[in-house]
Amino acid sequence: MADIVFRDVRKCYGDHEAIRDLNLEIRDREFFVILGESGAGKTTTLKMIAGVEPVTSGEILLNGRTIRSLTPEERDCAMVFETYALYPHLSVYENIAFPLRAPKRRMPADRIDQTVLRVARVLGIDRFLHRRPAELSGGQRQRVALGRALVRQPAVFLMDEPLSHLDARLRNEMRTEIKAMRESFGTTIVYVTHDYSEALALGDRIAILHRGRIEQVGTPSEVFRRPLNRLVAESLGDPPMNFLKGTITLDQSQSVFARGDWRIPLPESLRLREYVGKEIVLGLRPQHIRLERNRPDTPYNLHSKLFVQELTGEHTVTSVTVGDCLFMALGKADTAYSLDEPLYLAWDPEHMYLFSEDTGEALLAEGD
Amino acid sequence: MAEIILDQLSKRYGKKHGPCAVKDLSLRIRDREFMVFLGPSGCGKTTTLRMIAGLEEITGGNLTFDGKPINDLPPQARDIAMAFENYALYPTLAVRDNIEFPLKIRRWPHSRIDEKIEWVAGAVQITDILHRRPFELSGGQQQRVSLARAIVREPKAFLFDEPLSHLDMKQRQVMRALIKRIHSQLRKTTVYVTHDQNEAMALADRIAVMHQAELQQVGTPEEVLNNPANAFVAGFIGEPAMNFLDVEVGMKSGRAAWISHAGNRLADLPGALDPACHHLLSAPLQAGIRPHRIEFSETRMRATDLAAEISTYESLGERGILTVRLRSQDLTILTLPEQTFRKAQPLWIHFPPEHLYFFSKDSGKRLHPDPLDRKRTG
Repeated sequence: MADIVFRDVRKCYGDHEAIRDLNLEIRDREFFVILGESGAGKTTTLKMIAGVEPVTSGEILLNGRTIRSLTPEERDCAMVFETYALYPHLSVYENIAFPLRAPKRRMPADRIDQTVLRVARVLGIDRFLHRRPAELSGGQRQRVALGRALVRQPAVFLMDEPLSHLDARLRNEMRTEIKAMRESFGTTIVYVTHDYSEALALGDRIAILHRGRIEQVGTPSEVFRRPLNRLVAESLGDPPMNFLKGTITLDQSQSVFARGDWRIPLPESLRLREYVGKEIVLGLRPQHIRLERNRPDTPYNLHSKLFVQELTGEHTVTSVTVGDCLFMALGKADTAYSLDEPLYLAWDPEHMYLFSEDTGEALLAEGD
Repeated sequence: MAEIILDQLSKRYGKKHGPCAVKDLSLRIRDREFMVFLGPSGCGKTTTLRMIAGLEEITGGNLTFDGKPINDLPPQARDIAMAFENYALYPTLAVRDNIEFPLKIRRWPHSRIDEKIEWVAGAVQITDILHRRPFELSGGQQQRVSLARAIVREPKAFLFDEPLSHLDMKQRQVMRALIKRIHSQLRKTTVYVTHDQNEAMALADRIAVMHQAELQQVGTPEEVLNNPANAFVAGFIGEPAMNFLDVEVGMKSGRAAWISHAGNRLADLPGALDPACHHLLSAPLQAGIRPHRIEFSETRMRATDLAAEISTYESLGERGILTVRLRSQDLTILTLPEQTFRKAQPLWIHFPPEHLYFFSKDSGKRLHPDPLDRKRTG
């Protein structure tokens, strides 16, 4: 049982404000992911939950009690780091059993044995129990580190980029592993990463943190489809969303996105009316862009020139220049274009995003 | 003209029996080609590149450049540009002076320098930052300047060592497109090292896949993806990775009849097995199938469908990854985004035989049981 509440939490290092007015509720047994670039304040947030870093002002409540009043045992957090600090002279079995052998626990040997075996089986390391860490691959070591944290059955599991220095292949495998493991152990998990696909794959909810401030909290589908601002939209997706600056103007009482000679009709909304005459940014995800040689039969199109085409597996990433902007489109690998060939980009209106140039706030999202 | 030939090139550390970083590597890098060395860390790809650059002593074999042996030629005499090994820009010089530097040393006339700078700045999109100092630039901009400086002196070949690995996602995409575009404009022989199969697929004319100091396969991106030479290449290329299953071939009156996994029939073979392959069937065999080729349904459609248990589902925005448990083995299946799966939901798995690959379990070598050996489409 553990829910965690942040109330107006601030954290300063000297003059530098690492965390600004953080308000957040992490629910019991939730897999909560904090996504952000390096320096966003993710690790600081984790350390404050663990009680390793004191808050500068505000309050963090664990099950309704301020963590300042709790002893480390009462906080009952287990932390897994990017680097896995295993005891090199102990076998995998002893590494996992280590927290259980703490004198205070007084756990009988057969219970220790049962617990270690159960966790090892879940993590798929039961075959390596007699080995030393040096004899394991990076992914296996990371599993041992997870196992050692898991056997304690902590109320809260804190994970700080546990996969970030594994290679791509292993990272994907371990991500699936963590997802599976999570379903076998009902703990609250707070997981920090800079990798958006990890966040989408693992999180029940995701908080996007930027320069110490939360930009949005929501389910993976909410933050991906309905980002609150340009920053959130940009941080989810690979290749990332394409952006094009323009203004909203009225064309015979219809509001349109205007840039140079281009006019793209916009759906009627009171919200957009307020932005007439102002600068806005059009956003399109690479997978929603179609490329056509002839002018498409839709007003939702832009004219461009081929920059370069790259094949990646079954997909092609086609880069085109729209004015002085580089756009990327993701599609099936079928047509080959020549350098600088003129091309039209076309999309369906429901896949169009609009943001305020000024504040970055989303004015239009998918399905509006 | 710049054709680079590696003939049984080796790098051995220490004495005669020391460990090999690169072992008997033979490869012809064609003039104008974009060749990518791909492999996990420690496979010998960077060592190979450094031998080509002249930064690493060659301990066996021959390296020739347009037919001339260059084993003992110092790096500066090889007319090869190593782009952004690190940015190594002169901090006190403006961007423009940084780029001009190699040309001034070569005593190019001013008019030619100006013309060249204008062109290169346009090509790597740094025209608006030519007057700035390196410390005023972002990592991505510094890298463009470093790239410009390498291009500008018109070397015969370019070498790149993991140039994108420390850029963030967005910059990486843009730089990748830029490198590819510059190559398609200049068509200079390029050797590029990476551990990222996605990057290799996107950039290469041909990919040389390396593993444990040895060359595993050389081919176009399509070839290494659709026609892998062995289980290592098959598993390393493609995202998510290929699934591997232990299988046996069941024979009926001398013909291959079916493939089974743990005693369960999972696919029927459409034709006769080449007699030359018979001996392979007594050895342990592995079947491989790509995650997007596995078909699944809630009801059993065929006698060969196998029941699987859903273990996890990861929705990744543009696609979903379903992990299921089949007997004692996990399988990865690529799905559309936002599909919903219930944990206890029954799932029947179908392996289309035309999308199965076979490998010897011992050697990892790809086997071509004849009835299945036809042109594949991934």
